[in-house]
Amino acid sequence: MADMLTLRNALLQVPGVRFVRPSGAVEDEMAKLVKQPKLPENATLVEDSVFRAIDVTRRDETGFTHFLDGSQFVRRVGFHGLQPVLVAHVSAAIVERIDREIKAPRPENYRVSQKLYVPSSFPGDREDPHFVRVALDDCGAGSAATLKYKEAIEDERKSQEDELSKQFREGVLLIDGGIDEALRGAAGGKFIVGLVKSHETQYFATPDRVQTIIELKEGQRTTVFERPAMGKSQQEVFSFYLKLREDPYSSPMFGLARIEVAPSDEMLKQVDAISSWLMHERAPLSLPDPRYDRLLYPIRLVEQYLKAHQPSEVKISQITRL
Amino acid sequence: MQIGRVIGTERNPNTAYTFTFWTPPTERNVGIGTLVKVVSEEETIYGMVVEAHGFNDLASPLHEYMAFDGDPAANSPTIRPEMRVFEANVLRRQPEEPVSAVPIGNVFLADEADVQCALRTDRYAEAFGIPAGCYGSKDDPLAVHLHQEFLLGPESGHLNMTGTSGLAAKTSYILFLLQSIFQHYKDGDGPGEKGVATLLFNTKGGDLLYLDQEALEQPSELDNAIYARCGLQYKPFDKVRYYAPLMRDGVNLNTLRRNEALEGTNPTRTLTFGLTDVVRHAEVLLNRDDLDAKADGYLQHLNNEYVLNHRPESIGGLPVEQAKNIDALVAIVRRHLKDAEHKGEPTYKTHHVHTIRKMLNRLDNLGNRFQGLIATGKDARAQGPTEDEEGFQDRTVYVVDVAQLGTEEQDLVFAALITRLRERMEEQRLGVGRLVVVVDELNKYAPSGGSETYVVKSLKEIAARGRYLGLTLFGAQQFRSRVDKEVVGNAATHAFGHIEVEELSQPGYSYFGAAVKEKLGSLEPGEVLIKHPHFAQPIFIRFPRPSVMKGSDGMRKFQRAEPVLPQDLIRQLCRARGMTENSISDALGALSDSPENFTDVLRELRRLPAGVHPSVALAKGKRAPVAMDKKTSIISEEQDPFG
Repeated sequence: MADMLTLRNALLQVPGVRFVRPSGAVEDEMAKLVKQPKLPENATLVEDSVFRAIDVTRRDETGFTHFLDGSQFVRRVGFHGLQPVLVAHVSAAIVERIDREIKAPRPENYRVSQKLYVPSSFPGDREDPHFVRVALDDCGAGSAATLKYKEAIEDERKSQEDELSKQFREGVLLIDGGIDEALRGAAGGKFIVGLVKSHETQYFATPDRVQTIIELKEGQRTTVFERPAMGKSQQEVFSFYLKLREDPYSSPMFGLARIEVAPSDEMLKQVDAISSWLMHERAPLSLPDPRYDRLLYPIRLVEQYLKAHQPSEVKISQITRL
Repeated sequence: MQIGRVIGTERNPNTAYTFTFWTPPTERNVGIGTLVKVVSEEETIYGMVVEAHGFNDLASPLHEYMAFDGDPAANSPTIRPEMRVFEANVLRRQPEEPVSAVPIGNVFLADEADVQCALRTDRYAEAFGIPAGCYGSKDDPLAVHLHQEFLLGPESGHLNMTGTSGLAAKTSYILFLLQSIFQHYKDGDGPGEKGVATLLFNTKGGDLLYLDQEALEQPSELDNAIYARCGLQYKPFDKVRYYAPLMRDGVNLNTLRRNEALEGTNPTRTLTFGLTDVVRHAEVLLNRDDLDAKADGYLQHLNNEYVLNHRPESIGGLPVEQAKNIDALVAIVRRHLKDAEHKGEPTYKTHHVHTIRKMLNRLDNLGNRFQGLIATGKDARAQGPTEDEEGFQDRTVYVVDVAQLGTEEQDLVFAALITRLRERMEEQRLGVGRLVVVVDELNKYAPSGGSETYVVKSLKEIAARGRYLGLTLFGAQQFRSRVDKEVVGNAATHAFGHIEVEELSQPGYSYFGAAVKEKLGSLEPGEVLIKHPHFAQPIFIRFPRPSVMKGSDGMRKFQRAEPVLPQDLIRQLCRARGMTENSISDALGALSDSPENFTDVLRELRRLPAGVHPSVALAKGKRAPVAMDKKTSIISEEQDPFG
């Protein structure tokens, strides 16, 4: 991984780069930007013909042994013309839980990169590995360009997570996010579950199905449906909604997670068990994180580990010397 | 093995003398008082842990309650990561300069070499070290040494020990330390720097009366390990001399050691005070009201004229002999009164008859009140450890037993002996290079805010100057805050056993952190916190049970004998010195059988140096008159050619 001084030297080779004080405002900007989702259609049900709420049997046990998550840290450090120059520290890790203790990831289960994100028109050596050139086309210098940067950084993160999940072999892995890429081209037999916290993409259009989802009670799930192939992976998965927590005074999305499993009959049979494991994983609470209603504690610990290894603001300022 | 890492945050940075480090919760060897070593590229820092914190990532107790739905028995599949964070004070750094903030580095438990380096004992353990106990775990105790010249002088000196009574803290530790001193002390080069001895006061029970006897209980494994590590032999003191006053009968000793077996092996010597002590310490013997300026003036006149003066002035024209005992002094006072009466005057030499009569009353009573302690008889000499002709002897323990005396009597003994010791110290006539005086209940004898009595003055003098002159004070008390600050403050070495919480709340303990105070409040027997000039911080150490017989065991094994008649006592003492029964009977038969005669002979016997035959003392007694009759005459009437 390139250190800050190396990245600074790489920028100094390029004429016309203007250094600015590192700013985290770009992360806030990125957080607000989402790709416009496709309008939903009703997904195909696979478990039952009726889309309904199903009570999850509560058991004080869990089968999850490993947890995967990724994290990024982005700062704007300069401009080339009107286009920003960003530095992004992207990392992902799989941690193992032994005797209730989450262990630090082994080296082979940790991925990290630290690079400069620049527009594709950025001068200099196009093969220089310190730069990730983002095709801005005719986005201009506004939020559209920022969205491109965001996608590029998220792609880097996703590729790290996918690489880790692909090499996962033994145990039961819970991924923070979708599992389609993890399943692509994978040999059968891997026990992987994905927990998706965001609901940008909807899979049901009709009001009754939407009502079923938003009226789920704590400890209930929906009928399993097939999430169609999409994105780069073009891999379909089985999915269902699970209500981890309930709060009548919060949004209907409070405590609502969408779970993904491999599309197979064996996994279909495991859905109840997986649901009860997820319900059991709600303790300890991930407070004070505002996403505590859907952020399971082991995933939070992975995040904490990754964030602990991210550069500090002081370290970032080594690039700009400002 | 590395156990942790130093951390320093902006909010809580490390300083030149304090640092913080973390360990995983599985690390069980670190606690309050643990010595650690920090290793960084630039330096090595030694520290002692003074506070411990433990926490995990729980932000609020309510979150925990919510997570488990209020059920404390519920379990979660993941436990929160926990860490322990310790604060430590710096003991030493290498290199010693520059003195900068403690760097971020790796933390290790201190091993033996580290402990010696941290406490600076590596510089002096060989040449001047006195093992004071052991640091470390029970499995691996490491000896800790005090510097002889800083414990006993002359560099600095004196020890002050604080501990709750009855918890095997003060006396046990002091005895162990004395054992260590006796076995490790190295003589100085000068002529007056050879030898070390100690003087102790047994003020209650029999704690200090069997120091020459082996302990009945076998030492524990830990005790053995500590003795071995400290290079000490587990054995009682080789040479111990006991002193005790007489009972009111003037014959038997007033001590729990009154036992024939003990008298046979190590006889208890007599402790008495002469007239000069009585006059000198009148303030101890008389009430404050008795000793106003007029009475004090008259007393000084008596002392100067009739006690110290070999040729006293006459009274009413008649010669007067120097007063050798209290009775003689009382007789002189009576003569003063008579003289004034005879002359019809209200005064005798400016001293009013009322004053003289008052002093007569008090002095006449003294012999009665302190019977057994104040020497009487024609040869009323003071006897005691400071009167022995040969002076204090090397590696000898002198025990003065005052446990059977009342408070006033104890005060007299204490005042007289401490004053004499101070004088000997000033005159450099102690007889050994170092004499350690052990004084318990310092809050009684040198109370803070109390009046300047002889005792207080003497103790302050000893505390201030004793280290240069060979006299070291080992003081002990339950309440350090109630002891005179000069006496405590002049001690270079301080030891703390278990201390009550109320005492710990006093300002004098503000030097210690909260965790150290908590530990002091719950310290087990066999542990002390020791502060010494060479240690940058006080450290916790263990010490073993003393290798001498406990007082309770001694009293059970050597039961106190009932008081006996003087002739029976003479018989016992002669038997102990190897005389046969027959020769004893013959010798006694030759003596006048008056109780006074037997008492005088007994006194001589007790004064006899070791190795001298008892017949020397017996010869000083009055002979019984030889009855002359016709049958026993050497020349009979029939045989007398001249009859």
